[in-house]
Amino acid sequence: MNTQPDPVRDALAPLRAQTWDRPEHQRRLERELQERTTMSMRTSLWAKAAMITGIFLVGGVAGAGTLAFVEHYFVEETDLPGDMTHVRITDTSNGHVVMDEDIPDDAGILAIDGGDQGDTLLQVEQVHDQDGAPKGAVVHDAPQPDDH
Amino acid sequence: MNSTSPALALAVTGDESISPGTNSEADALLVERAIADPTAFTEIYRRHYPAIGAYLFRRCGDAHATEDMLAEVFLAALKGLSGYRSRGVPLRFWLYRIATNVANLRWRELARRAENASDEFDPDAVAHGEGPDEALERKEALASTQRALLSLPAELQDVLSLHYFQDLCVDDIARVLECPSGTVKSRLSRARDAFTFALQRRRRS
Repeated sequence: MNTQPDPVRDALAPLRAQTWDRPEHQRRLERELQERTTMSMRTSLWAKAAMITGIFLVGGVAGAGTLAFVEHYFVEETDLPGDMTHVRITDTSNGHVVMDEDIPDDAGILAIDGGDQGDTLLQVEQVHDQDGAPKGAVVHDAPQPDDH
Repeated sequence: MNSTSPALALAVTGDESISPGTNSEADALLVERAIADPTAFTEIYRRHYPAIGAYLFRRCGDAHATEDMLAEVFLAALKGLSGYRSRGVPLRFWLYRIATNVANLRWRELARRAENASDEFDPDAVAHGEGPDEALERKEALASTQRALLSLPAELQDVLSLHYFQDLCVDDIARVLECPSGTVKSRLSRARDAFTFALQRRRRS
């Protein structure tokens, strides 16, 4: 490849001699990538939880057509003092927070605004273990809207 | 040349001759591991950061832009890792492809920045044993070469950079760019002519 004189190679030699040795930047970017990896793993877990919610809904309130719609939700729960849970549901397709409320641990009916596809109802209940200690909120299919 | 510091001109990194990752089977295993456990992506990053950094820096001559582009490249690689299918193509070629796309998206901005970069004498940029006049002359020569390269259409910059900076042969460039080898040959020929013309014009002016 380099046996014959090549004026272009010679002309580009000063640029080729430029090197890239930035250990500080390399470490910083590595940290950023690791942070994003960790975040993405967490998001992936939540996305699975949201998909499970969708599967629950198929047989219940919303009908099969709602599955794809529900899969777009990202559900976050934070335990609060006083038997309350902060629930935030984000539509990942557009980033809009469709619900951001504190709800009682023991039970709650959440209405998610589904736009053209109509509202979706989710029932949230606190699960208790055998000793009566709370294990965390679960989301499953709610009663038919007509029941309320 | 803007943003060039003496520190950058010291340790030699990023040459293909010392770049690992030419074994595509090993690459495929590495990628599989990183898909199963994203924290394993760090190994890919550490292996390829120097070569991709050198490639981008030689193309644009701007350290800040190179840092930004490196972040874009590795974030894109992290997100798109499951889209990498070895098929005999080394991982570094896939990363070069991403880096090439990132550079091409920004080449007009990079060319503008290179044109506007200061040619003033920078005492920090004097190499060992070099006088101020020589340093200034070297800097001007470097700047005019960089500008000539950046004045070419992106597809011509691609083949020149991959061939002359990263030592890839025509067939390997074709694998990076996912185009026939004949296309690469023809582009390389046009790129040589266009670069020579652009450089001569700059030197005359």
